[in-house]
Amino acid sequence: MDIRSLTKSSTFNSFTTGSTHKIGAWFAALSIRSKKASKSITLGVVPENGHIGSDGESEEVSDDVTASPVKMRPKNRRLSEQDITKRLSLPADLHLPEAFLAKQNLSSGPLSRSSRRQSLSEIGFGRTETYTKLNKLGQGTYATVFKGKSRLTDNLVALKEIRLEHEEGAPCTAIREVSLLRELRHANIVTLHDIVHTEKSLTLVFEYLEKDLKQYMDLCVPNLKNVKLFLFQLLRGLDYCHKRQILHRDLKPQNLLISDKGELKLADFGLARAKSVPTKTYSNEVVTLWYRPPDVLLGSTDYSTEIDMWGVGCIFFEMVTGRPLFPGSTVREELQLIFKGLGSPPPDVWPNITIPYTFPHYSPDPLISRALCLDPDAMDLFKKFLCYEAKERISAADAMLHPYFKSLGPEVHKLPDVASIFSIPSIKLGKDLRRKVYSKNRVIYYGDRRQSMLL
Amino acid sequence: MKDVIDVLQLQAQRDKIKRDEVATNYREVVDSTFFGVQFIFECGTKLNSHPLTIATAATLFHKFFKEAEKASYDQYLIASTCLYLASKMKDESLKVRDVINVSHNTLFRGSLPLDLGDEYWSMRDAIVQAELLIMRMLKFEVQTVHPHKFMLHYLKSLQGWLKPEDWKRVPLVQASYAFLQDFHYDPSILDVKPEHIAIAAIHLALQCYGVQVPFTAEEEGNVWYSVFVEDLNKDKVWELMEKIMNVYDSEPQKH
Repeated sequence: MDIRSLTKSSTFNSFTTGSTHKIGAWFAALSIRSKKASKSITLGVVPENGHIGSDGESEEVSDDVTASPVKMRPKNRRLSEQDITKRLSLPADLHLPEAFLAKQNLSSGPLSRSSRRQSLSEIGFGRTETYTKLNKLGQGTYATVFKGKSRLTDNLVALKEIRLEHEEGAPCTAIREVSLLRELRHANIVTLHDIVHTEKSLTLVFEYLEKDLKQYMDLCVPNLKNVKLFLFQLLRGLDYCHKRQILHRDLKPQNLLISDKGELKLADFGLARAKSVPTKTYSNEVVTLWYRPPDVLLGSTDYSTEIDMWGVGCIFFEMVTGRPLFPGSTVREELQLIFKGLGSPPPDVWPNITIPYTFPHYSPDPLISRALCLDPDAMDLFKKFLCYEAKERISAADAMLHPYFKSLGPEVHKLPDVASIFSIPSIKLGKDLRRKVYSKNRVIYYGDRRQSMLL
Repeated sequence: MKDVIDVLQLQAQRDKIKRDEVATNYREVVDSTFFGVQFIFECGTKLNSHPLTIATAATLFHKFFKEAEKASYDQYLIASTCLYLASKMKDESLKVRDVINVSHNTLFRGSLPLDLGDEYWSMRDAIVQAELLIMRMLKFEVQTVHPHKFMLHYLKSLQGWLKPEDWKRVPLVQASYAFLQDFHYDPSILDVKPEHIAIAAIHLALQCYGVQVPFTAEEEGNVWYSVFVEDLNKDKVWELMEKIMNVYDSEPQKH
């Protein structure tokens, strides 16, 4: 972090101009003030207008002009940039009620975890003022996503603001997302930097990535080398989740974020859940229709990690050809597209499911195979993702070992979880074909590849 | 006819005495986390929650009071909130109104459901706020690995290992699950590896019914669980079994 960037804040400046010796006094005043103002909330019945700060204490009323948006430790240790980024890469750290801190301080040795956490909050973590909202990126059912900026690091962040006025308190998707992301630390999973809790909302602070895969594919068609890199990263992230018995359940290009460097990260774990005892069935109706496997479309609730692998196959196809594989808008249409494309399923493939629709007998559509026939390995892998029988679908771990990825070299399998595949010198993002749109129906690419697919 | 009626009356009377003995009056008992967990189990059962949800709630409850000053919080509010939070985590969202009504009725036995008035709304706000307080106190790390799935796996394996007549004769599965579930009263459940708890509960059930796992002899250090875990020895298992048994003696005097 750059300490000097902090002093840019006008309030801080106004305080420091005049006398350079006053900084210490300022800190002293600040610590006294915060001590006075904070009192831990007692829960019996919480007062109606109880203003809960991000630190589990009643938030101080900050009409004080000298209140800088950012606070620093009284005994200021100089923090290096590395220090902060190291802290940033740790998911959100939180302030805890005084009683807890006091208890921790009594028993703590030199620089305990809790005192580090306290210092984190003084730096500005977990505080609303630390993040500036820029523009709105999107709106979901329970959350709004903003592009934002951290005043600490000047880095861009994505702020997912979850409204809490909801009748049932924090939405369970939010609770699941937060609790899952706290445990996931991987180069191909979006990093949760911080969590800010205010009275009306819970804001998750994520690292900011420029695009999602959908936007990326709207702008250009990834070249086949990049498709391979994206697919591999997708599998890497999924394998990490699946090893922890976590299903994503909502894979779609909109949920895969792409950085300028070409890093792909899984996002939106609202529907993900940690699998628990297998006796429990899952609520169906979870995956966006286009990427949903047929057994789940037909109401199967007894699914596992294979649910995500079907979606991987669909996304693979979409990356290569630039168009979605099965863009059905209803369950019936979606099934029909799948059966038309892959051929009717064998009669005994789902013994426990009856298909409530009647379809004519389809044989596999040769166009689909032609789309990927440039590379027999790609075709083979593609087919392994799209098996009717869920148990036969290739797992993320096995898919990474498929010959299709052999050209990436052996190092990609030895990377530590948090290392990006681009840390290997030989792996670089290639140049993509820019897409030029003439009309809504007709899309032409620069370059001659895949013309037949598009017309 | 008279005799019959007498018997029925006696039965009703006996049941009533029994019920009065069992039902805890949470407002008057001494302040002990034991009753907090009991409250979770009682409300959870009344709400028809999945046992895993109840187990999660109990774990959250212990985790919370490991971090928090006990006197600062109303443990029954925290208990209700843990149950509500656990249900959200486990995909079986309870309605907050149901949680409030059941908790309220359990605290004030025989009372009617709350009207949508000030009392209801302040309870709802308390739960909603406590929910995020718990999340934050636990640093949002609310996921737990439960021993249940390990136990299922071990029991499945033992099913083929034990003599079929032993397996049929003895309610091993029920007993092990009961021991495991009851062990959630003990805060030390947080400190024990889930695999180890599962094994200790099964081993206790085996001991209770005097079932011998074929081809093993505990005295010779040849134990059935060595197949499943490496870092567990006889002494450790017996120590854990003792902990489980202690739960049944640990209910504090109510007054």
